[in-house]
Amino acid sequence: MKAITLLGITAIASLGLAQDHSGHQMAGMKKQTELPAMPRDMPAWLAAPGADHLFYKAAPYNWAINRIPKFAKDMYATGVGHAMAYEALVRGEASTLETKTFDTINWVLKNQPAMPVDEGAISPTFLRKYGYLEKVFDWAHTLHFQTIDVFAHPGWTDEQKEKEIERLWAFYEAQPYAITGLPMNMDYLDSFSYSMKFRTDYPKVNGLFWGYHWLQTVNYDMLYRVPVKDQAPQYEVLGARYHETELYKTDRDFMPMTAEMSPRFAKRFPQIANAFDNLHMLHDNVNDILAQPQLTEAQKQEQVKIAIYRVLATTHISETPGESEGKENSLHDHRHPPSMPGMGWMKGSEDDIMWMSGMGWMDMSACSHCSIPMPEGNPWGATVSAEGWTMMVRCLMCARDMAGETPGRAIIRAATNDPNRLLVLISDEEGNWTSNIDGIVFLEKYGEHPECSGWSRAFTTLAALEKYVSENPEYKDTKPLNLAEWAALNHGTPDTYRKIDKPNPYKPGPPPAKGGGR
Amino acid sequence: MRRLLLISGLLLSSLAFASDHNNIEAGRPLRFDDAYSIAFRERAFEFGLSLDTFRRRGPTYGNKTEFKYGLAKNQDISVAFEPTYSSSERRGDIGNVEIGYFNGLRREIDNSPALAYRVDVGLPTGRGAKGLDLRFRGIATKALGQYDKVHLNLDLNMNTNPGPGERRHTVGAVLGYSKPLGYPRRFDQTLVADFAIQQSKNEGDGFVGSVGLGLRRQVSPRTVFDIGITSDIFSTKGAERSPVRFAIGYSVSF
Amino acid sequence: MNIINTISKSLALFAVIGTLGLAPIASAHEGDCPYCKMKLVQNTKEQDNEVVLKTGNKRIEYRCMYCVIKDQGRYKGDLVVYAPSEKVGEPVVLKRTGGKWAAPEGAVFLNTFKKHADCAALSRAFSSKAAFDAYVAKHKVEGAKALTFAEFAEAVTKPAK
Repeated sequence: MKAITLLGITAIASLGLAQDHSGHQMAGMKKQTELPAMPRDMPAWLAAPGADHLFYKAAPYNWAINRIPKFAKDMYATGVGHAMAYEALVRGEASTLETKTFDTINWVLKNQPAMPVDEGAISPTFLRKYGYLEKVFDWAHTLHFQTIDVFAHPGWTDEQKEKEIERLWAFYEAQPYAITGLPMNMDYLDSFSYSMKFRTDYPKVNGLFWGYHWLQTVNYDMLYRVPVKDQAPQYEVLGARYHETELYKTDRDFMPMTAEMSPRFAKRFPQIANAFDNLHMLHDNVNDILAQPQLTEAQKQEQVKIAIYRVLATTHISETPGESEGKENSLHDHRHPPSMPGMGWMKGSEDDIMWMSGMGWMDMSACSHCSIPMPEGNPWGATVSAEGWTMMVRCLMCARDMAGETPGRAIIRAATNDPNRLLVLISDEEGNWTSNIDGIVFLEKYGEHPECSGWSRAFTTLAALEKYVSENPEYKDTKPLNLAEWAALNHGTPDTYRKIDKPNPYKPGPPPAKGGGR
Repeated sequence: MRRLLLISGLLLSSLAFASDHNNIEAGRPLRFDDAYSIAFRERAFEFGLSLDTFRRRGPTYGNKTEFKYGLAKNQDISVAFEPTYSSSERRGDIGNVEIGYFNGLRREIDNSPALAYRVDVGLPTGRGAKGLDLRFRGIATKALGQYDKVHLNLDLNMNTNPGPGERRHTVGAVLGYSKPLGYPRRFDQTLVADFAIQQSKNEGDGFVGSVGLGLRRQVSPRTVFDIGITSDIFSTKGAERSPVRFAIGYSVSF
Repeated sequence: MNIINTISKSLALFAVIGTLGLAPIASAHEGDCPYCKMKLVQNTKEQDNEVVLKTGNKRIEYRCMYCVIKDQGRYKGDLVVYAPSEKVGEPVVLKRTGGKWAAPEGAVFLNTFKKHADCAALSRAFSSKAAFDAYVAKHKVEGAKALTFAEFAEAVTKPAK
């Protein structure tokens, strides 16, 4: 009954929205012309002289990231980029950013350190000027690494890991440097007079930064509820993509968002996904401020402090996710897509509809392949990762066929009959799949797409499939498929698929000839 | 038993943080500290072996173990044991137990140096030891160029119950230098060097001046290996010199 | 239970229709060409336009023949390309087996576009020279030359001047 209500509401809401759309102007904030003013309630710690180094939470899982050596090294290398760029900017070497500094960072990204690097040691001049900022970055990076360590730790169940992630968040949030886990209005945060300066003037270096924000966010769905043994094989696909393409993309409309790259994780831990996005936005703000030659040193110091203030948890005490009443497009706008609490409000967003760079307008509440609303509860469907994106789909068939129409290797992570066993399928360039579960069997009785999550499913054993069939006699004549048989099927793009045809909000003007859809 | 295994597991896995090759501690391997404490809540063990040679007697071997704890932001406490063995006397000495407190007052901000102080108390647990050895050290760290740093340590030492012919107060100073090696291509080792001058404990003896050179290298996210060599290059009024002092150490954080 | 299922399915469909209302209705198979990133040109009643490349279990759509040949290097295995021809539903089928291309006897190719926006109309396959001539005449294609597949592939892959 709950499903009926939900579907009904979705339908009605959709119709309502359809009406709203007529004549609707593309939402988006105008760039502000004045520099933001210093708030009166700046936290005292920003002026504290201590180094205030914090140690991470002691636990047996620390440094479990090293169980995925290539991923660990790539993550360690990400510590170098911002540090080198910031050092160059504060030392008056901005003119070298796209050449010498880019080459230096790129060299490190290709020849990664085997251990984490001390960002402060790489950027000593920056640290002397902006030591308070480093406290925010360091603490958030610690959360980044420890959450990864928890997921990569082999000794615990998924439930233990999820509880520990919650404890880590509480550990993180207890410090004054903690970034808020509330969704923030990204359009607002990117609307200041200095905004977009860095990406405009230094597209290659910005590309590297956004490239490793891609890495820092794409990994969570690779790890979350995935058995430890099945994590490293996925990084073979993701790591190759990172090095070949993602680091060198200069045409992204906006930084990669956690919920775009790891929707399952962002749904489960929205506060952490939001904190990472807010952290990455702070990085962008700082890049833009430091890259503004018109600003004096004192103005830069002041604007960096204000940028920190905006995203601190202490600035948003007692505010709640989803709330925006009267505060739309402001610092205290905490709207999020209804179906994705781990995502702030994006330029042009309307409810669950948002522009995803490289994918076009997507509805986060619907299957990316068949456009039908995602199922509630179990099985929750699947995700498909290919060509740098990760999308939610309703069923295994949608996952396979979406991957099948996309060039390159792909990863499917899907629900099975067993809520504790995630199916991880990895395909080669030709769509030949390997499975993490030996003997996986599939049910696929092609029918109406709105019911695809019923007739396209994966089962960990034949017995489990037979049990399902006995409970659902409409499938009694359907032959169970092994992986090879299932992989050979392809029903193409479903007729229910609807592309949302609106212009790119980041590139105003007529609809682009290039891009816009999948 | 299970608990023991868990604890040893924790220690072993620790052998695989937070000792930081950039964060320089006295004894590891040279005599100077930088002006930064270990991190809040960090725990660290530092192990070291040393060999002191002398002109007029046989070498002395030392084996120092120190435990540190990040008590609060910018503050740490430590306890250290350093049993020694004198080859000329052919006997060992359990040595004094040292308890220390470090307080980082400020980080380096713009052109102002980072400042800290530490207080160490040596308990008279060693052979023939009397009274307390107290040391107050003032520490300053400042950038020299982009990555290089200089560290100035000023010491005031006091013994509450000096022996016959021994000074109650002595003074010393160390000028340290550190430089990360390999930037911008590698980020795991730091060269350290120092010049120290220390007043002799013995009344009538003067000062000993020494130089040292060493390396701190990150071995894993939690461990740092260090190695150093020091030589007393001059002394006044006949103070005893050690021509060569070797130190090798290993620090683990968890 | 059955009633609920039926209602549920109906509402699901209703929801879909609702979703459709969310945006201007677009045809299925819309997407971007993996090579040129421009929108795929949809088949019409009069003319097929979608170029389909099959490799293993993958079925990738391209905007034109030029894009397929340009992008072929990413595929290591054998390929089958269904190139839209002058006849609806009867593509020219090209195969790359062991790295060697094979095209049906008599098939000819057009490759004269100046702007990529015109590629779907001006980089095409035809089952015969006669069909080519008819197409060129109907669409008043300037400078059209009927190419064999080998000539077409060479023209596409030769370095730009």
